[in-house]
Amino acid sequence: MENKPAGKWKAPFGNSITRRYATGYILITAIAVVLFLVSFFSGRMLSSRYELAVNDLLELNNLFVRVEDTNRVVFDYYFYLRPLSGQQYYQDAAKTREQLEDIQAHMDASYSREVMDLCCIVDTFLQKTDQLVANVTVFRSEGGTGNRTELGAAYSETQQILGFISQSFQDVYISKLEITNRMQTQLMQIQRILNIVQISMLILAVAVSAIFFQRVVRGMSDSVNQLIDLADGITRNPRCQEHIHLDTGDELTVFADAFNEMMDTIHAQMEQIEQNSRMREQLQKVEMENLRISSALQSSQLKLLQARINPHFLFNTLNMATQMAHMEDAEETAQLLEATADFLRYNLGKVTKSVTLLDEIENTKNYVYIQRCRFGDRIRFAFDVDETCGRLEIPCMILQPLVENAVSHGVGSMIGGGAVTVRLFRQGNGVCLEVRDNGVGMEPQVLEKLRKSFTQELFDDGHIGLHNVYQRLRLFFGAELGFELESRPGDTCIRMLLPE
Amino acid sequence: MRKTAAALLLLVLLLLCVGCSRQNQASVHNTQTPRVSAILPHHDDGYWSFIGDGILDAAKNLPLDVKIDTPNLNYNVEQMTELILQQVAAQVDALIVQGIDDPEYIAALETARAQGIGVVLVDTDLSGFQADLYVGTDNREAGRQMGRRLIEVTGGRANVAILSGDVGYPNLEQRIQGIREAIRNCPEIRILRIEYDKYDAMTVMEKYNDIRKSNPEIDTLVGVEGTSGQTLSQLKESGFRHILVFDANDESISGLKNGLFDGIMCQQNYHMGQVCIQQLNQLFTDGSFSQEKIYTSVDWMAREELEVAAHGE
Repeated sequence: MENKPAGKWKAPFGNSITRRYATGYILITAIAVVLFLVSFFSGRMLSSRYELAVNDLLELNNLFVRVEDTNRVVFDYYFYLRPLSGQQYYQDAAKTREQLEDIQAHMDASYSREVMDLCCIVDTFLQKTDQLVANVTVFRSEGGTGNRTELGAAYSETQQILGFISQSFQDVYISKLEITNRMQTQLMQIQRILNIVQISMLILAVAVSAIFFQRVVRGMSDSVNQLIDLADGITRNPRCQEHIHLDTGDELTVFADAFNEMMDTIHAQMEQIEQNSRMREQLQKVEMENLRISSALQSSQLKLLQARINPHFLFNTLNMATQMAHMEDAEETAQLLEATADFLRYNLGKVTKSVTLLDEIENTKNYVYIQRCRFGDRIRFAFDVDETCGRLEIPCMILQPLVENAVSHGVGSMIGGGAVTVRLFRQGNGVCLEVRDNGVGMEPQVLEKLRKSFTQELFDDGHIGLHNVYQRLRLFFGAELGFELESRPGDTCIRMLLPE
Repeated sequence: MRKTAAALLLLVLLLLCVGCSRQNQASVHNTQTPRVSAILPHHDDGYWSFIGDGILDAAKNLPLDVKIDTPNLNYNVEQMTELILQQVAAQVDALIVQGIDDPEYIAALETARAQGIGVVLVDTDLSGFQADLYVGTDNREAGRQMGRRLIEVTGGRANVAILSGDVGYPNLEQRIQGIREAIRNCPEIRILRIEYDKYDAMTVMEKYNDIRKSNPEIDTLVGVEGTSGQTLSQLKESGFRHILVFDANDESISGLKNGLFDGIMCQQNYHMGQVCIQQLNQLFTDGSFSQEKIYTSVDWMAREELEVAAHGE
């Protein structure tokens, strides 16, 4: 099962998380800067244009005031012939001319026909008043003997021109007002456009932020959430084979791919472990089946043997032989026959049943008696038994095969001094049954092979008995069974720790 | 994302450019541009406004700073004289004015010429003033053409009243003179009255009714300036057998269509304005005019021609 690709938010914000965030922030910052610049420069432009229009009018107004001042002095000089006014005229006329030149200086930059006409009329006015004042000065210096009519006409002409100035100033004023009005209309249009631009920029900024949030922030958040969900799902259900597919093209995609790869590896390892476990289980089953078959085979072999020798016949014969030995006072023989009969009865009658440790020891003593009759004093048998441990049940025919092994493989070949010791004592929470002999012992390789045979099916015919004993005990007591085998020349010991 | 950023930047630059271009939307002229002032008798959405349009249209593509002034009162010679003197004081480079036979007016023109200001007379020439240039109708010839049309429409038999503008306008006197010359050999065409409407519609109607009442024998009315045709076009029906007028405009053409007029003597007034400016540009460029007098043509617009033209459409 696969997750859907998360977040198609590659374009337009780049291919890595850092780049996307950087791009988003830069874009939003750029819009904010542009918005600020538009507002700042538009504000400055509008205010400068208003200032320009107002300055023009102020300059013209100053010119008009200067002209009127000049004319006032001319009037005073013409009508009252005051010398002071004559001197004052030149100062005022100079100021008026200065103002006029100021306006004319930047006339080319902002040319206006009305202003040009006004300036020229003022210039004409100044020319005429210069001439008039000069003539009046001459008239006054000559004691008033000059032509007064000509002076009067010249004065009238200056006043007519002053009227033109006044008229022209009105025209300029009207023209400027019209221009200002037009400018205001234009400025309002510009202001409206700028407002639209500002609002558009604002909307753009909001849109970019929204897109940025939707595509980058939420996209990344969704991807991370998917990863978290998947990790959570895997924690709850380790067998979950879900994969995540992120198509973001950034580090998260790399991370998701690595995550998927890691999941695949974990699943493969888990499957391998499970497979191994299943195989081990099957092996154990096969092993158990083998044991069961082996046991059944032994049982059937025994039954077959029993069937062959007809134990009742054998036991009756042995009893009769025992009684004959008693009658003939052959006590040794009678005892031997009795021990033999008990041993056979035990072997044939209880081999498939569980018995107590004391039963096993008693049966082994019968076997030892028979062997003592056979070997005489060459082999010494000793039993060190804690009777309190004797009630523990074990499978039948456990101890006797071990003693038989000690005799046949350990001390059987010794001419004398052979000893086999059987010990039963309490150890920890269990009971320890130990068979020790001082025979030839086992070579280390043989000993190692024998130890391995307990867990594997590696055994040769010489140790079938030992292997059989171990397997039966293991089946009876399970994993709690302790089984130790030690051997060196002159000391071989088999120790079984049986749990109670 | 780069395209978006580029479009954004372009938009801002465009806005700044628009702002700057509007800010620097200064006049194409400067202090060195020759200044021309046209002082026209009135702005009447008729004859003189066409001349004014011709002047302004021609100046659009030329390095001339042209303005038009009109008196507050129509055809007020005193105010026009004042305007001339104002322009003289303003040291303009050239004046375009109508020739009016008034001493003060002529004195103002003389002052202008004395200061080196070029004087162009338009529409009306002045015999008592040596203008640098005259542009307009050959009024005497136009009068003769009107006289010939008068003979044509009346069949050489009519009692005529002439409706002129005002006394002292040589162009009108020349037209009347031309009419007289044309009908000299037609004894049965008699000019019984000459009235002046003062370029005023109410006066036109007053004179129209007075002529009909005082001289019922008069059967033909000839208007030698535009106001009469413009005003009489509003009549529901003509009180004369024949009416012939000067100058085509929407009203007079409407009168012609309605059958009030027999025909209109059309001057090329728009062209007059254009020629004035073209000649002044030549003066400032080359130092001289093409010639001292430039006559523009006059054309007779008859009712029949209008009907043919209408059918042709």
